[in-house]
This record gives sequence, C-alpha cells and structure tokens, in this order.
Amino acid sequence: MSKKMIVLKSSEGVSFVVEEAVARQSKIISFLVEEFPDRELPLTNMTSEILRKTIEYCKKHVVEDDGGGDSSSSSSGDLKEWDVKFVAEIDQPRLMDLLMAANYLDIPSLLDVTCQKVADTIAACNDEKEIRATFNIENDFTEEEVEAIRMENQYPI
Amino acid sequence: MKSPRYNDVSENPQTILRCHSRYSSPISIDLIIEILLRLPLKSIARCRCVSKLLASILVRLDFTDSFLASSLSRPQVLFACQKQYKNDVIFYFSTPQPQNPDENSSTIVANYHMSFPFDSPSLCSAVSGFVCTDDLRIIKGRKTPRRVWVICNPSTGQSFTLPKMKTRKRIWIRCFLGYDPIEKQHKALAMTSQVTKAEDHQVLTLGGTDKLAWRRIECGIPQYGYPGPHNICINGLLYFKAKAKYSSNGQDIIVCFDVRSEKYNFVKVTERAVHPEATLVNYNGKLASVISQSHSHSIFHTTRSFEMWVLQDSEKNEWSKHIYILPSLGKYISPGENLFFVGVTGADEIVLCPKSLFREPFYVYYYNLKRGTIRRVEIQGLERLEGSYRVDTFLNHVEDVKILK
Repeated sequence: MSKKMIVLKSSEGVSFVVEEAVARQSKIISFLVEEFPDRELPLTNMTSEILRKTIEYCKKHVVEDDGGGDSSSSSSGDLKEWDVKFVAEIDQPRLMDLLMAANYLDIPSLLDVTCQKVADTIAACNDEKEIRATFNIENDFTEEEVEAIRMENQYPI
Repeated sequence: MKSPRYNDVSENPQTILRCHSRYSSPISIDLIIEILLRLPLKSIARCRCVSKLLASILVRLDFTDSFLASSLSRPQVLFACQKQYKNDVIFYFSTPQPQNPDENSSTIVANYHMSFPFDSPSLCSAVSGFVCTDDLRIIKGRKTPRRVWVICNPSTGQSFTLPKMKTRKRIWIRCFLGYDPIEKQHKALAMTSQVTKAEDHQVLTLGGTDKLAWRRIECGIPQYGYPGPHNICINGLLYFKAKAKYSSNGQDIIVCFDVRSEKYNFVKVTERAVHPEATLVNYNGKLASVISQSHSHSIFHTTRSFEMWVLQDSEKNEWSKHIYILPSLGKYISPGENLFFVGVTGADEIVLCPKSLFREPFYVYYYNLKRGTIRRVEIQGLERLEGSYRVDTFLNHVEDVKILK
C-alpha cells in the first residue's frame, strides 16, 4: 500500500511533498488534514529553508506503524544525539525561526529541543553583555537600574 | 510544558496559517518564558540585567510559578554549611534528590549556590526554597546581641531580617517558617513564652502586598516550650512538638498549624512518637516521627534498628508503628561518629547524614525502607570549604526565583 502524501507550500511558493505521517507530528497540520483533505496547505509565514528544516526533523522523529505496534525509526538515545547535532548546526536567527515554527505548527518535541538550545546558549554566556550581543538585545537600563536589580537578586553571577 | 497558544482558528487554512507573520511578529512572551524556564539560577540572575523586557518577564507570577512547578518535579537536597568557631557565614550547596530507589551512583557533585553573612547563627529550618535562620546579631551600640530571625533564599540571594515582634512578653521566642502551597505563600509563626508557656502568637506573611508586619492570632490550647527546634511543614500544615502541661512529664503533643487559615490544631501522641530526640519527617505526605532504638537515640556504628511512627489518621489520632532493621554501619562510620535523620525521599528512602564536616569526604546515607538496604553517596564539591563545618541537610528543596518585595 502506498503511503498517503500531502503537499506543504512555503512562503516562497515552493511545494514540499511529505508523507502524511511525517507531517502529522504537527498538531495543526494533523487538524488541517482532517478538516481539509486533499488540499495543499500553504504555510505563508514559513520560508522554504525553515520548512525544509522542520520536515527534516519530523522525518527523523516519525513513529512508523508497521503493524507490530509503535516503533520509532531510531532508538531514543540515537534520537537525542541526532537532536543535539541538528540544533547545533543551525545559527542563532534561524534557530529562533525554527523555534517559532515549532510553536506555530505545534510540534512539542521540536519546541522543546529548540527552547533548550536557546537556553543553553544563554547559559553559556558569561555576563549580561554577552547575552545582549548574542541575541542582539538593546540595553535599555541605566547603570543605577542594573545596580538596583543586583541588590534585589544577589545570586552570584 | 505549557501548550502553545493560538489565535482564533478559522475554517480557512489560509487564514489559520497566516496568523503569525514571520518577520512582523517578534517572539511572544509565552515563548520567552518557555526558554527562561530552562535556565540555571545563574543565568536567571544575569537575564534580569539584560533588558527591561526580560527583567519584567522574570518577575511575572506566571513565570515564577512555572519555574517553581518545574523545580518541584526535580526536588533537591540542600546543604547549609556553617563554619565552626567562626560563625559568620553559611554556605549553601545542593544536589539532586534521588527519586528512584534503583539509583546507585556512589558520588554526586554538589552545586554551590552562595553564602549569606551571619553574626552567630544557630538553628535553621527550610521549607519550599526558603531558609529561616536564628541569629544572635551584634547591633552597634548594644552590649548584648539581639536574637533575630533571618529569611534567606539561596536561589536568588535575597535575605531579610524579620521585624521585631511587638510584644511585652519577651522571655524567649520560638519562630517557625511555614509554606502554603495553595496561595504559594511563606509565613512565619512566632510566639513568646512566659515561663516556657507559649503566649502571644503572631503570624507574618512574606512577600504579601503589605509591609512585613506581625499579626496577632489566637491559640486555643495551652502549649509549652519543648526542647529541640525540629519542625516540618507538609502540604500547608506546620507541625512542631510541644507539651500540653508545664511539667517535665507534661503530656506530649504535636502542634499543627494550618499556614493558610492560620488556625491551630493539636495532635495527641503516644510518648515514643514525640520523644524529644525523635525527628519529624514527611513520609509520602503523612506526618511521621523517626527515632533510633539505641540508648541515646542517635545512630552510631553499632545501631541496628530504628522505629518510625506514621500518623495514619489525624482525625482519629491513629499512629502506626514500624520497626526497621539497619544493616551494619560499622563499615561506614567509625566509633564516636553519629548520623542524624534528615527525612524520607519520594523513593521511600530514609536519609541519614552526619552533622559535621571536617576534611574527610561528606556522605549522605539512603536507607531503603522496603528492602532494608543502605547505600551511601559521596557529596563532592564541599572540599572547597576549608576548616570545620556544621552541616544542616534539608530534603525537598526547590528553586523559587520569586523576588519578595
């Protein structure tokens, strides 16, 4: 029996033909496939690059139902390792896009690994200046305000 | 993890999928919270200084409550290390608390948090992330030191001294810290004592909207002071030992204070369960009391058993008694050394610890109540402390990053 395929279209209008089981890891797509079968799903706020990455993740994480119960295509240890490598290869701005895509498409496990990666990046920063530089955040504090916050939260930084 | 939130789902897939535009909408507050929840304490402290937006998110109640909830699922063992003979500082460390009886790591590295200055601290107790320490503070211009209670949060570094109780009865004061998990509020309960009879009971709410202030409450049944500071707070009920009469053989009671309603209740007990040397513990949500069956009620290398009394039904005052046989401790502790009961983990293990640290490695002992086996875990990372320390160990420590105003 051939697997059912669906079409996802990126903001640039590029079509991606994906197995339904792969795409259904997104709760939103899962819902839309049921409501609107046989329709192409336009993801107008996702670039081809981010959509390709999201599909790559979903392909790796799809749980194959081969009749013998649920069995993932990879062992959980391998998957974890793969996830670490997967997010490590993405630069900061694209990681944020992927995180928002995971949230928007409602793919909890992808949201978890991307959030964790961003948190690890923050944790690797040695001070608030490095956090600002890494995430391109403007410093809108005066020195006095920072001093007041430090008085409140004296956990050693 | 919280599920993501969406705008209204309309029937047209085009509309549904366009509701977040990639470049026009910045990352939502919900997503920032999802990221911040995964940060260690050090990074939380740093992020407060990054920008006004981040600082404002970190003080939001939905963030601090979620951070606390995620910490509750990973309880920790907290170590308060106080330098002997030079009582001016307490160092706080923590390790994960085993949640699975099959854990068999023999060493664990403690995470150093921070230290707090004191003049002459003595008793301390901890509940839900906060530590309450009794300190004899030397105040300028006074000859005798004043006794104060200091509340510290080793997860934020916040600490403050409780205000003086307004009372004319100032013989001595007992003070306990309790936590109400429903309102997520810490309260201090203090009472003055006249010839050991506890009078003038007052309560103070930490982090309330008002300035820290004591409020007088009623106590219906007389209670008398009791040796030993030990108290335990279980699901919003603060338990401590007392006597119902003023005499050396006055009836032993356990006082139960409902932190939320601020009402007293009393649990009568059989004499062993509330023995002065017995330790009150939280046994899977039930009040229990543990005591060694050795002569001095301590745990020595020769101690072979201990008993545990569990309050099965507080209404009917029904206690069940259990006797546990310890394996030989001779291979772990030498003559003269002794261990103390700390509490019970969610994995049904009784935790035993020494109270002192001096050069040699520090061990925590886990006695499995079901199997009758004991294992010990070396706590690494305390070596950075030089000299001799008194160590107070607390279970179920959580990280609460709420800043009290």
